[in-house]
Amino acid sequence: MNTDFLKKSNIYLIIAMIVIVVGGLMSYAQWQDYMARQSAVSDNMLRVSGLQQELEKAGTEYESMRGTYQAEQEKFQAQILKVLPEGEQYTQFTRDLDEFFDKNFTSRNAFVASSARFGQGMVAEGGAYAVLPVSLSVESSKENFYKFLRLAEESGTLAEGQRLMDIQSIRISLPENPSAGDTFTYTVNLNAYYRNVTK
Amino acid sequence: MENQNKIPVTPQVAPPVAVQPPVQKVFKLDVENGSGNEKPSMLQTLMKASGSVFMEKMNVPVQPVSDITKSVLGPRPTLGANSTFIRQIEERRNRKSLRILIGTLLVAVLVFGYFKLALSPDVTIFGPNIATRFEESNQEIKQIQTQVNEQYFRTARLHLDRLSQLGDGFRFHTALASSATLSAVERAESDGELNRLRGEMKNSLVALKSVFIRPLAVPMYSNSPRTPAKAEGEFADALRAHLLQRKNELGDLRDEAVIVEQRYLDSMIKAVDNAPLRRTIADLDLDVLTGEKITEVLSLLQQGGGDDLSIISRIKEGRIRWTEIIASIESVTRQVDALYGQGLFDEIGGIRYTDYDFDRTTGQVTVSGLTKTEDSKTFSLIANLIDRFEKSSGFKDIEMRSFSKSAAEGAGFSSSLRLTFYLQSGDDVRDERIP
Repeated sequence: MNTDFLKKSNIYLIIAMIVIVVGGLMSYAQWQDYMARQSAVSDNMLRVSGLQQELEKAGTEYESMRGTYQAEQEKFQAQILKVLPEGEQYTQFTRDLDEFFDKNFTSRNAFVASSARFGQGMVAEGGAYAVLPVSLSVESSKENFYKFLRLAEESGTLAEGQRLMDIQSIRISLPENPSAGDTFTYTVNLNAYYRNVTK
Repeated sequence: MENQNKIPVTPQVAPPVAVQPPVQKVFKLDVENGSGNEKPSMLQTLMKASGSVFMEKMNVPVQPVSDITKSVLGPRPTLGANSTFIRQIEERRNRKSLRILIGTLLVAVLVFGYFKLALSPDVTIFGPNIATRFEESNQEIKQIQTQVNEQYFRTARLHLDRLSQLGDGFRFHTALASSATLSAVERAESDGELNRLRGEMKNSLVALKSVFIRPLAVPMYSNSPRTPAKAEGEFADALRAHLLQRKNELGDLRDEAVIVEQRYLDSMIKAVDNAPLRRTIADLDLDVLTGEKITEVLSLLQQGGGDDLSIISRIKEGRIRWTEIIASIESVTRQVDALYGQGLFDEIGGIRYTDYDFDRTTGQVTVSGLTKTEDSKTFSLIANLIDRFEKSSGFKDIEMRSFSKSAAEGAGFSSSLRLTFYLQSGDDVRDERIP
């Protein structure tokens, strides 16, 4: 019986049957995949047109906002450039300091920078920005001394537009016998910052 | 007649016949050996129908067919001794089965081949197949959605810049509000400005929230399941790549407009990479917008930023407010000498500083001066001053290990002073130990 069953012709038929069954199942799966993709393609085409409309809307919205903010943006960029200029620009910085000392100088409140020395600029933080070392010797009243400290501490504020500075050291010499209105001298080493244009 | 009727009963003995072994004939049908004109018997028909395989295998001995059965079954088939015919049938059956198998395999190959052609995006012999069109349509959706995201991020960049701009003032006035050296008028002005800034920042945050609350990704058909986070990451990557491509396509970098566009693109790329910022803004409860929440958003905004405003903010945050340090030194000194700074040193004595030396790099402060007392306890005055500095939360490691005193006739005792200490950030156990 077994040998009959295992005859060549039967084996062929059995293999054919297996192929039909397995192939049928696999084909069904493939067909389903095919149909799913076809349906997805149709759906995607519809969604593409929807997205095109959204793109147009977002673009219009941006252009309208851009118009509104245009002046604001330009002002913003100008403020940044004032606070963090491109390059050392130590001549402009000298003029700014002179302006400050002169503005606050009165007969009762002395404010004189006796010397200003600018070192060589150097890049910091891997080239993100650069530092210009400045050494100032100043003679001033106590009131103006605090004004100068505030200038340095509040520098870099966009609204104020003062170049960004950071005091590194201060050496103050007070008179042995001070009296009201007395001036004193101090040496300030500070860093003035600028944008590293080579970055 | 009688004789005729009588039949002699004689045992009829059959002549001895040589006993032959039963003929072991194999049942084989050989139609070709027949006359060819005979009508096939039922047996022949049955045998034809059922095949002779079984009988051949069983080797059934063939018995002579009686006349009665002959009439029923028809003429006896002629059996041949060779198996050519059966073999031919067998071979025919094999060929037929093989043909069926080959046919099935061929159909299977064709079906698979068709699906392979239709579902493999690499196969483009007959033009774009469904798989290619599926990929293309998905790609198109991704591309357009990336362009949509770009537009939204351009809008967001405007608001982020505005927020940074306002944030700069907000930080400044927040720091100012906590300053000990601020007058009441200045404080009131600063508070008013803070409120104005907070209102404007809220407007920017409302606009930003509407951008960041929408996901970067759109639902897409995919062969494998994708989590929303994965899809979001994929679209963020696509947007970053798209913006980088735009940046690379920019023309002459000396052109001011190109430089500005490059900055905008950098700012947008930074916003794409700053997922925590986007998430925080999207989750903001704008009805309860506290100063702390604004500060958190501003900190995230400048996080990891290499743009100018982030650099400015970082430098500003790292600065020391020297006015505060000097005010603290004077405050500590007044704890020991209540009349310090009143201009009464020459008359009453106390403490007077003549030199200050502040070094930001090391955080070291050196203060030199004079102390004067009516009694001889000037050293105690200096010791008290050292302890007060050590106890304060702003200074630590106070050093003055050399004391010298001089007595002036009628003017009490005086001693020079040189304190060296460091700026303290954080806690110091000595602050609590000193009574």
